[in-house]
Amino acid sequence: MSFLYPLALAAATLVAIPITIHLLRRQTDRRVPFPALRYLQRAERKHARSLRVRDLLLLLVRVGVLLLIAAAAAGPLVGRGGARDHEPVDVAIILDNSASNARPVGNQTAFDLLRERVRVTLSAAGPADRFWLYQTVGPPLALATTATEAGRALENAQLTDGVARLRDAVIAAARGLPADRLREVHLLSDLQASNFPRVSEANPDDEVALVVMSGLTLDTSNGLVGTAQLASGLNIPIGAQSDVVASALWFPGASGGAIPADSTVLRLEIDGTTRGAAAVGWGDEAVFRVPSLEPATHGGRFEIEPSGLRADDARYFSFRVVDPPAAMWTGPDGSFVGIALETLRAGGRVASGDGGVRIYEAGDGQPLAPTGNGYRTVILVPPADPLALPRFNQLLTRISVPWALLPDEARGDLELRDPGAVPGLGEIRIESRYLMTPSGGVEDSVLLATTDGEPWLVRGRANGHLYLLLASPLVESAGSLPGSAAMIPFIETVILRWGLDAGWPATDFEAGISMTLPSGSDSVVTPGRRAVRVDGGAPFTPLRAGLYRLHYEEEGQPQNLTFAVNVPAAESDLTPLAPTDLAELFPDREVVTAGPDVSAWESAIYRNRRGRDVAPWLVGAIILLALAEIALASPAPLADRWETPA
Amino acid sequence: MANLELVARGVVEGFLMGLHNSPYRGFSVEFAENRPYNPGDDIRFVDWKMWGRSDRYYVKQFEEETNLRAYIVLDVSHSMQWVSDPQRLVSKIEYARMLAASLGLLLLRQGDAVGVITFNDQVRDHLRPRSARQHWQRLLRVVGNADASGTTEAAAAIRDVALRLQRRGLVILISDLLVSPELTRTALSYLGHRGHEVLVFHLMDPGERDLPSTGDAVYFDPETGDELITNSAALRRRYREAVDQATRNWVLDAARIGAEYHLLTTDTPIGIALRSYLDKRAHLG
Repeated sequence: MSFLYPLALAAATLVAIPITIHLLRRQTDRRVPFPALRYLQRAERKHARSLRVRDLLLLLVRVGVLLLIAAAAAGPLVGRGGARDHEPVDVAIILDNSASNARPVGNQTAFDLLRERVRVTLSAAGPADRFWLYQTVGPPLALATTATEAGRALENAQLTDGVARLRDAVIAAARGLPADRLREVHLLSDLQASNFPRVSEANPDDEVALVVMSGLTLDTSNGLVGTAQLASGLNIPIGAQSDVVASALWFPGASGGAIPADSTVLRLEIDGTTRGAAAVGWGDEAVFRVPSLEPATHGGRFEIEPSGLRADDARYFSFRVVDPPAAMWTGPDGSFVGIALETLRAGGRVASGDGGVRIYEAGDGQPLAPTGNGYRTVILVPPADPLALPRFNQLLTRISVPWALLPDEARGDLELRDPGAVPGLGEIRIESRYLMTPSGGVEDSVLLATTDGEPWLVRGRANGHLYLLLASPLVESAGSLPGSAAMIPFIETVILRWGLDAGWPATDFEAGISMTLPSGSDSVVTPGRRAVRVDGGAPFTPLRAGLYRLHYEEEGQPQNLTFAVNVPAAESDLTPLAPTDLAELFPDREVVTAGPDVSAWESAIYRNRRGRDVAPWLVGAIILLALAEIALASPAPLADRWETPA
Repeated sequence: MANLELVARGVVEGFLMGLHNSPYRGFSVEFAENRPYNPGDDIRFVDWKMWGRSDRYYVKQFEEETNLRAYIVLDVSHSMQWVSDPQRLVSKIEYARMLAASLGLLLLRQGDAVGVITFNDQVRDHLRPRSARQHWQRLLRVVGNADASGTTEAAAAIRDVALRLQRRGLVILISDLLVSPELTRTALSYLGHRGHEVLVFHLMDPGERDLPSTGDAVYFDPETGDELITNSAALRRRYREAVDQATRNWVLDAARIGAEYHLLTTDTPIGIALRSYLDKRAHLG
């Protein structure tokens, strides 16, 4: 037992008053003449015993009343109190609003249930408690505020299609609490295992208790659209044929449940119009032809039949239909590269002219620089003769490409690693190549590498130009590529996919992940058709999957483009975290898990309980004792007092 | 005393006004004395023989002839002085004086001879029974001078009365009966055995019947000095039971010896007591 105001216990000394009165009353100085004393003596003699008992009872009742008053004033706290009876505490509440919490629990979603538990926490708060209310996806809802304000802020919480990073969220929330008060972090989540990535910062020993709600009964099997990939990249030349590939995937989940059907229907929609549908088996891909479209950005959507988590039953993508890029070639006569470019030009996949892609194939008599009136991208092919390599490296230095090529003594039969980007590329052999060595700060991306790990095709930016650098000359003596069927698709891919500056968006986005919009951005229209004002260059976080429309200005002209936002892949794996893993994830932290029902949650939260406040009960007891005192001390029973003496 | 006379006269006159039959008529009288004539006196009673001898008018006064001699036995012990609420009530002795005076006047008007004995632990005053109208003034003096003091012993006074009453008579005991019940009972039985009629007026202050809640105090008997430390509030109901038991005992004892017992609290109109007397007197003929 403890007391809120222990000093009030000093009032218990008041019991000395009735005791003293009781002891001293026989010494009263008050003398009353009473001739009929004999009757009084008779009454006293007859009832002396009951009178003594009554007096003793009165004394006990009066002492009891005073003791109870002192005890009630001291604010007694007994045992472990309810959720409301706790020491003032700072609480960081992490509400998981990631996509997986849209799964149903009874008649509501898991998110609704989690939000209800947050309300339980807030309703049991004391006036001195402070709350930090975080969502796993999106900005904080409340910081260092009262339960009432946090309750209001909670109404703004909403489900998203983003992914939660729960371990990092817990660590950050604990770090955000001031260290001078009792602290707790409440984690309300469906506890997806994939939301606890192993690679994250160390868990600090900050003595902040973590209360986790666990045990939600949720369906963990899930079907989803796995990929939605354009074979030609995001830029499709106008009139060119292009395919888009999608797959249907199935996660059996923790229960290892059977696949509900052998296949599902995969449907393609572009710009709001259905463009195709196919029955695909789980784990299989389907290829759809992209129709001819006007030059612009377009949005597409793959969808399967409802299965498990609904948010990932659709996958969105965007692409750009562009005019054929201008491409020029400089190289030795009879080069396979020149022939391939002519073929592409004849097919309308590339156009002639400057200002686009310039392919520079080093060889005898070639100038020491790409020729022409300007280019945006240069594709650099090394010379077949190693003796010309120094001159080629001079060229690289001149145009600020931070690489140098060195002869490779170990000639032999090499393959390319991950050649899937270009059809047929997996069949070719590299007979000869140069070793690429960085000559400065290199931030380039390696597009292709040989199986021994050496880069074979790299891309970077130098002097405002995009460049691509090959490690092998494209001659028959250097490998099988020039003479293979993969040569033309390879050159097409190099020009159209890697050689063009893809512009914005260069890729699809994930819900809940902040992105930087291009400068000049004015507003974004969400999939819910809500227009959001944005400042160009400022971070923007899309919360729902779907196709977004960006309005911006370019050279004073209003422009529109579409970009796609999808559910992060990690959110599709609904396997829950094993309860034992929680302790391993937070080894230096007190971790308390509570079942999903309200009583279990109330019992787990607010670790520093003060004990149950029994003052109201004491007040009730005081009233009862006071009534007993009145009854005992009354001169006669009520019936006697109301009775008129005869 | 003049006040007592006025009160008693008022009580009796008022009481008699309400009666249908006047007790003034029907009694034979014998000569008692002469007194000078005053205007307004009935000329039938002028003593013409005296006028012949002295040339002055005298009026003959007669002593009413009666067959009843009554004694009013008045308790003047200290306990009779007590009053619970002096603002509202009279003391028992004051009430007893008024009652005795009223009874005396009533008796005399009925032509009975009435005497008075006052007592505490012994007989204090004695007035022989007479039936003359002037006797009431003497009775008033005895009664009016009866200050309450001393302890109580009713038995001695009652025995004294028994000795003085040679013929069959009426004894009216006015007391708070805070006496020895056994001795008093025996004395009253003795009166009964001697053929006397006994009427007992038991006077009680309302505060003696229903104990006031005065809390913790030392209660003491002003006559005996006995003390009791108690809380009256706690004993109120028990006390009333003890009082009721005592009065029940007096009622039974009175019935046993053929006496009449009347409990009067000092807030009871005296007319009620007089009615009790008249009822008794009617039996006596």
